[in-house]
Amino acid sequence: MYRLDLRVGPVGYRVGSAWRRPIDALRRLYAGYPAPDEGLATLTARIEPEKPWRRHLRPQVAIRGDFELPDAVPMTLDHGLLAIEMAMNLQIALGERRHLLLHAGAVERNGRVIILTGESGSGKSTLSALLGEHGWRLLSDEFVLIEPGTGLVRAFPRAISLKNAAIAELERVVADRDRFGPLLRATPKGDLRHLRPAPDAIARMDERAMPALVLFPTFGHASQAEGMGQAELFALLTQGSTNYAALGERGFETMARLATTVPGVRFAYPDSAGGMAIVEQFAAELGI
Amino acid sequence: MAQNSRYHAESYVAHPVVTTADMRLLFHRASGETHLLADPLPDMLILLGEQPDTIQGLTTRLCARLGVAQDEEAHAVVGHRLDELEAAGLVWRD
Amino acid sequence: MAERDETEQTEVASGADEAGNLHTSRRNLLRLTALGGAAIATVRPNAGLAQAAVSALKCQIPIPDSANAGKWVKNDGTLVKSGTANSYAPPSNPLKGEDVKNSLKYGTTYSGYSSQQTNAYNNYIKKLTVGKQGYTCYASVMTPR
Repeated sequence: MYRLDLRVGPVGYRVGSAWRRPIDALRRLYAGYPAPDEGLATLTARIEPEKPWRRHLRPQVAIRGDFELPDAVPMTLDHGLLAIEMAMNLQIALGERRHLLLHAGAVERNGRVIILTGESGSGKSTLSALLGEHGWRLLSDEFVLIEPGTGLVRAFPRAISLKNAAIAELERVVADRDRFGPLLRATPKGDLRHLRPAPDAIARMDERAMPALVLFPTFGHASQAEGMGQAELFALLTQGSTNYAALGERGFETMARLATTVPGVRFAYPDSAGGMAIVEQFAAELGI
Repeated sequence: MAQNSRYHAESYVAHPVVTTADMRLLFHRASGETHLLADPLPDMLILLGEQPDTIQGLTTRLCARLGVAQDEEAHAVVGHRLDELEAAGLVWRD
Repeated sequence: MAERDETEQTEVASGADEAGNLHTSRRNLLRLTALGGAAIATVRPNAGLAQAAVSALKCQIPIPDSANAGKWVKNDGTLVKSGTANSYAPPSNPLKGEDVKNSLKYGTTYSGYSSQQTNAYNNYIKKLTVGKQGYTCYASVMTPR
């Protein structure tokens, strides 16, 4: 078993792999990330052969760890890095209990956070990544962690998953080629390439910040925006949380506080430039 | 709805509740579930939490509390709303 | 008990909601026209991923299941009306899979509850069958990995 331990924000990961190549790729992708602190509770994420005889001959990669999904379809070794990233996602989605999780991206400026949430395909990850290259600090492209008690957002800057057209968009604006992982073709999610967040996102990963706005972007329509009521915001945010129910009353308090203190807005946008312009407009209105 | 059974609810003050502009958010400790309630459901839960009641008795108290006239229509609506609360596990009958 | 005295345990509403809609006037709350929509919505957490998860470490068993909310648990694990003699109030939070495993295998009691309560809860759990809330968790803690 090849191993790599690393820390992403408040989460420690112990990553294991039966094969060497995916761990080497992970190490390059997460260059510069700290190791978990002594005594930090860690999540275990592993990739192993689906069956013992599937290690060398036509290898089949299964995702394992503290949590496992019994009926998952195995992946090929070419996509080993993606399998590790999926394993890391699975473990936090099901194992995180200290923070309320939102399925969302988030960016920060001047101590205030804009959360971008919604269904897959809404463009929230791509928009978060692009904003992270245009003056905002990226907190995460996929999981937003809310601290119960304070309501502050913790950064969780994992490698960004760029899919299909988003790959070229980010390749155009990120000069440092070392930040990109290998191009993975024809994965279950289409063409995919990982991008390490910008250096400031990693250096400042322990700085918490105050949520200021929750946005629900929809890609591919003429620009327009509308506010939503607090109860609707609450309902939509809970739907997008993998651990809301598991946190019980603490989850309820944390989510209710977020939904009643931070405005929620839906907006449609035609393309990335248009989307970023709308976000800048909201930021200006809020004095961010 | 059942005309002669009494409906019960836990004491309303036992639940964490947050009020928003249009609804109450209620966390039900016994089940760990969260419900979004529109008026007059919170009033109904408060009244049943203070004292179990039949549909008729609850309708009487609820109409007095809301300051509206009590009639057949109000009784029917209270019956329907009790069905919703029962399905959600917030009230039960004996 | 004061009838309108809810403010001690609710936060004050922030005024008219953002869409600018007027609140349903109190007059119309008990008219049949108000029955056009449901007045209650229950949060259904991210069903696909959360319910597929089966792990002895992290899953939970709610007692009782939501359909029986409010009932109490007898020594033998059956559910009865709250306040019935020789029965116990259910735990205020779902029991953790790991705690259930330890209790069933090694006889530990649940934190904050007596051994009689623990025994009643365990008998309830042992009666769970496929389809009941908590069954998958119970099965997973009892099966060797």
